[in-house]
Amino acid sequence: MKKSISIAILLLIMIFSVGCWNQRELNDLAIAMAVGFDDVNDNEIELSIQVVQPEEITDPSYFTPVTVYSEIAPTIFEGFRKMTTESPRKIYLPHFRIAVISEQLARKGINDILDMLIRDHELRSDFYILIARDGYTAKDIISIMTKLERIPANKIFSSLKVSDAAWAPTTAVLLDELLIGLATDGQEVALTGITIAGGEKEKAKTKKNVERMDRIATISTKGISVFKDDKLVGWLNEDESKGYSYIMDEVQSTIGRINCPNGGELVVEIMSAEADKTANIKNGKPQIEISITLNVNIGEVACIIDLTDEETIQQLEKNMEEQLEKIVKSTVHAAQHKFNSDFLGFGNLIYKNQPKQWEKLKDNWDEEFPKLSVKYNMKGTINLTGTMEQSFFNKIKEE
Amino acid sequence: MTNTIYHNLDKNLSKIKSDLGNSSDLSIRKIHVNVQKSLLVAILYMEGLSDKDLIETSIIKSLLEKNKDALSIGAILDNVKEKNLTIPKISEVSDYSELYTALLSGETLLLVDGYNKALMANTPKWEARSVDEPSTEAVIRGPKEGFVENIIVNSALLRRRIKDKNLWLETKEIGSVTKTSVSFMYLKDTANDGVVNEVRNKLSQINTDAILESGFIEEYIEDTHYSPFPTVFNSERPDVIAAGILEGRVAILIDGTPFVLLVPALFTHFFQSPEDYYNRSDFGLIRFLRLFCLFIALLGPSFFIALTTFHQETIPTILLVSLAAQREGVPFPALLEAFLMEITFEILREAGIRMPRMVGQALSIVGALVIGQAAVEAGFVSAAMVIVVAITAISSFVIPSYDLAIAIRLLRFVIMILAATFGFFGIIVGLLAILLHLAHLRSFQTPYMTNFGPFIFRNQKDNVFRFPIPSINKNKKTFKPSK
Repeated sequence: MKKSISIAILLLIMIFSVGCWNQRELNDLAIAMAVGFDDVNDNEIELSIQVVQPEEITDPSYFTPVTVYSEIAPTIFEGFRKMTTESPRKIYLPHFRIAVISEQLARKGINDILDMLIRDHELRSDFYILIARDGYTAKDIISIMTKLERIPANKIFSSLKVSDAAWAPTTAVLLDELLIGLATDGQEVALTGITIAGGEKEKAKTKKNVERMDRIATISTKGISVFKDDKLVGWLNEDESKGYSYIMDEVQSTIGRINCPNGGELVVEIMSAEADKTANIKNGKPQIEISITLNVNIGEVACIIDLTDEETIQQLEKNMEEQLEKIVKSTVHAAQHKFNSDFLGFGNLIYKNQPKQWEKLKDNWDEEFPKLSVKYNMKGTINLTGTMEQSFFNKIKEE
Repeated sequence: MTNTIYHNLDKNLSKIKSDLGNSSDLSIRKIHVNVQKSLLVAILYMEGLSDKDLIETSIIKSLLEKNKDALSIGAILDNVKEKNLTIPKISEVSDYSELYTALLSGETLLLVDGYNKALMANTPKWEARSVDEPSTEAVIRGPKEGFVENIIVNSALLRRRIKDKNLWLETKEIGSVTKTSVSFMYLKDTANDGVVNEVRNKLSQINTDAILESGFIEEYIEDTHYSPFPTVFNSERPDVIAAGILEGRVAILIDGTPFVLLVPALFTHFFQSPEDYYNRSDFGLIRFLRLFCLFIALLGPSFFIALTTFHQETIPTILLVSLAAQREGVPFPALLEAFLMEITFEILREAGIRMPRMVGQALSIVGALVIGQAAVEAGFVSAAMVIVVAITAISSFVIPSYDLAIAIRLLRFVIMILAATFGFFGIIVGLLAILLHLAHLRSFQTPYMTNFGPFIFRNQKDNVFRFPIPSINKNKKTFKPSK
């Protein structure tokens, strides 16, 4: 009996001596949805955080649904702590949806930022990393009010997710994917750019932006940035971005244009695109082979064409393969010659398929990469032509 | 003071009167049987406990009519004892304490002048509730009979279901003042002898003044007092008790209460409803639902507290924002908030049981409107917490056994404190402690968690799920002694 009492007392002491470590009530938290990193005063960082005003989401009144706090500090961690001087609540980081890095800062290197984002034990790794482009700062990007989604960070998160699936020139990269890319040998990273469309960004930061039918400015993703090591070196244009998505096998569904045999264009919806990359040895040198198989449906016809004719279809398929090859080639060209950055992961491919070759190449990969020969195998199939055989366009023209 | 009955009738009568404090419900009728011999007989009974009609027709009438020509007092006595009374059961007492027990149990006493023994005629009859639908364990399909307060009727209800000579019944009288009849029934050869002996021993060791309800017996015979979990099963339904007896368990019937006890009781029994077997077997899934509800009832508020105060990173972002919005302006920490709501609910429930039916409506208005809606609108508690407490409360009513529900209700508060101090870690520690305790519990020599641990594979068809009855193994392991 005495023993059990003393055990009970010990247990009680255990409970009360630890107190409620790490216990925090929901209304003591400032839930951060987005974070922005900008380069200021040469080597200081301006840290901006988009914090939710919870009751504004469920019961909107006259406040904005989110608030942006920002702080300038030499290091990020310091910045977060310094922010408590401004925010009445503890900034709660794990619910980040996006992290935006300004182009200027990205050109200097992103390793320092990433280190903090990974090291903090509270952070999850399922948020997207974006690069603010066109001269906008990360703070601008996360300060724009949005419609439909009241939390701008959520808006960006969902639109990235949607367009990643339905629009080839977009690639959404999560923190953990980025880290794998950075840590892999013979592989560079590429991140989606984000910009403000429409002018007057200062006005767009107020509620005015969402009070009109149209909007003053909106945030949209634009292009893919190319990195060399952890530094941004340039941007891919839309075709090159598209090619990037095809090569990386990230296309789930998108839209493509095909030239008609007699002039004009028709638009196809890509139902499936499968990319397969291998590294072979040709004449004692490694060669990359890119095979892409497309299955498309015709979605829109804007030319005079007889879709019931088997030969026409074959001709269209051939055109499609040629055009796809052109797009893919432009991306490879950008990688090899424009930026000399192996963001397509060819080095890693050689390492996986031809490990012995990689041993020889890896030390001066920067010189070898532009010289690498690439073979293209494109295969396109048109499955369906839609609910109409002939375009009524034909009839009109004939008359 | 002597305890035996005197020869003198008047002396006897005055002693009885004074011993009973001149209680006015004692009825005494003196009659002269056989005028020549002037044999005086007194008939004593308690009003309301004995059958007046029977006394009139079978005792008084036959005494008066049949002894007219008797020759001697001895002959008259023999007549009275063996011939006159048309009553099924007659016995003789010579001891006052026995006399009182008999008189107060509804027997009619015949005291004969000059004779130091009393005759007892078995004439008990009192107003009693008839066999009725049990109010605590209602079923949609199944017998609508319930036990009543009369132990004779109750044992008959069981006999009607099991017509087997092996169904044995033993009766004891417990309580030095109340002298309550307590019987136990079991199937010889099916029930474990060890369990039967234990029941017999434990019942005979009970040393108390009064047994008023089965709860008294339960607390005397249960294996451990300091456990929130019930180790004795009780039911108002004869079909449930009969099923238990057929499994080899021992039923304990107590006079004066419709609740019959059943031992040994296992954890899994408290999840079973007779309807599990009466409805088609897909309904066996319901047991799984009950087990699930047990966890909601036990962990509902704790889980919510742990999630919202320790592990916000595990809540989906949108949900977190809406939860945070509800908590804006709530002045109390989540634990206190949960305690407030839980205690409010407990008060409402207790009031709901005790209050007169007529004020039920007033209570529900106060409960639903004032405490539910107004508390949220006033910002004392968050709406999410009200939802959590409500679902917890409803879940606790899904558990068929009220005794187990009480245990869960108690443990819920303990785990809430653990959750508020340690988060999920605390919940796991609490659950492990409960599990250890359950694994340690025994009910009449049987491990409480039998079927789960010790895990008995062939019983699994009738454990968490119920399979079709023909497919439930005929050789299902019961409580037979393991050889």
